[in-house]
Amino acid sequence: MRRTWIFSALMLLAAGCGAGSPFSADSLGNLFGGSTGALIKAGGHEANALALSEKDEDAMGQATGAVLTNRYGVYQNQRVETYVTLVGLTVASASPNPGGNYVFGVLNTEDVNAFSGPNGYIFVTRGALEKMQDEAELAGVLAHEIGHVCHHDGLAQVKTAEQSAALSDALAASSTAAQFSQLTDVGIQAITEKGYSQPQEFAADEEGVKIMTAAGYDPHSYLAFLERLSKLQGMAGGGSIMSTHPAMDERVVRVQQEIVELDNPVGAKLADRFARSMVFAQATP
Amino acid sequence: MNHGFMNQRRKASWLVLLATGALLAAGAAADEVWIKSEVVQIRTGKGAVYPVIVTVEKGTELTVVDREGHWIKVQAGSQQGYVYDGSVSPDKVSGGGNLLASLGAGSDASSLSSGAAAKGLAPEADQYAASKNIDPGPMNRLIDFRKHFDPKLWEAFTAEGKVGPDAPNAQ
Repeated sequence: MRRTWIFSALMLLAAGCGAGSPFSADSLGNLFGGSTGALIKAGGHEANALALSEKDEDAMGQATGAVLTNRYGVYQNQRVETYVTLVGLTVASASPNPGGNYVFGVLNTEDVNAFSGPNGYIFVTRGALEKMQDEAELAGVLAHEIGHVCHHDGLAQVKTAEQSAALSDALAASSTAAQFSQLTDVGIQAITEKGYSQPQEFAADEEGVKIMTAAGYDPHSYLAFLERLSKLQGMAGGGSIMSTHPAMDERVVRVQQEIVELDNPVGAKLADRFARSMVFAQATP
Repeated sequence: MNHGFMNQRRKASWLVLLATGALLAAGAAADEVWIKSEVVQIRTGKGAVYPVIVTVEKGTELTVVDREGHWIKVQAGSQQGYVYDGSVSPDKVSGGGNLLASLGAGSDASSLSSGAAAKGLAPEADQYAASKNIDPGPMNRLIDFRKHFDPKLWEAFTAEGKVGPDAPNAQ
């Protein structure tokens, strides 16, 4: 899942996934409508602060979604869209931020992948749905993405980029609108080309298992999906679910361990309901 | 039997009860919480599926009406709505948020969340899309789809599958 947005973290600020976020909007300043021009030290350079208010973060999540939906297209099948949204809202309701903003979409590509943009703009590909066997697998994938959002993983990447001398110099010389554009570009690039770090992926798996279990789903299904993906690894580039950092085998082992630590919870799998809802033939172009 | 003494005791008991009631009422009235997250949506129900009454900012003081598990029912202008307890503090939080100002800025009772989301892409996102020659239509449609999502559909879905935060298998 390299596509976990830089801005997931930013959006998470707005979504407020849990209190005591390590990042605050204040630390980034206010790109739009806020105090601009505050100087920070970035990579040894002084530059205008990356100033991102909560509305900016939400806008970045939307921009991220706009890029993804244009790149892959939206799978316009109302039954599938509705079902994915229902499952997404169900796991979100058991997340650290059950009252946040969440928008779910299905990307029309054979690639097996999932993405999360800032503030809860979450996408799963049609290819990933086609590889799933029950509702709990879908719940696990969406919970993993919500985990990235709750951990502000995207913001961490933005902050890393912020420390780049080249970016900070470019931002210093830019208008606020241009800054927004540059930061969004950075986020998208990181998601599609770099991806999350190994610790971030492990942590999102761990959080995702907790979330789906709290929602009453069987985490063994997510484990089964990861095991299936481990055989497919290499089919798709980028995206957090298909992340090659770390190797899928290692993620499988860690998820197995977590399930054992949770005393092997048994929850709903709902394979029949999943099969009834995944009627791909009804898709409209 | 000294009826005068008994009457006095009855009166005293009533006074104690009244005083206790007044104290309890004062205590209830003083039950306030402050928004500690950067931005929080006050929703009509206990979950992200429910429409937003108003979006409030850090430091906003809210009057507690009731507590239901991890959700706090608060007064939001003329309406009552819910916030998650993880987003508020029992202690005063600085931040400049103000409920009346938020309500005055535009109640978005029928929206997904912020006013921007309610209207589709925010201006900044729309401008970004235009600068990249990206069609905002698909994302606008997804936001609109989510905005009009029926909470009753979700309630029936979770009940049928026995999933959700209140499900029997929920850990």
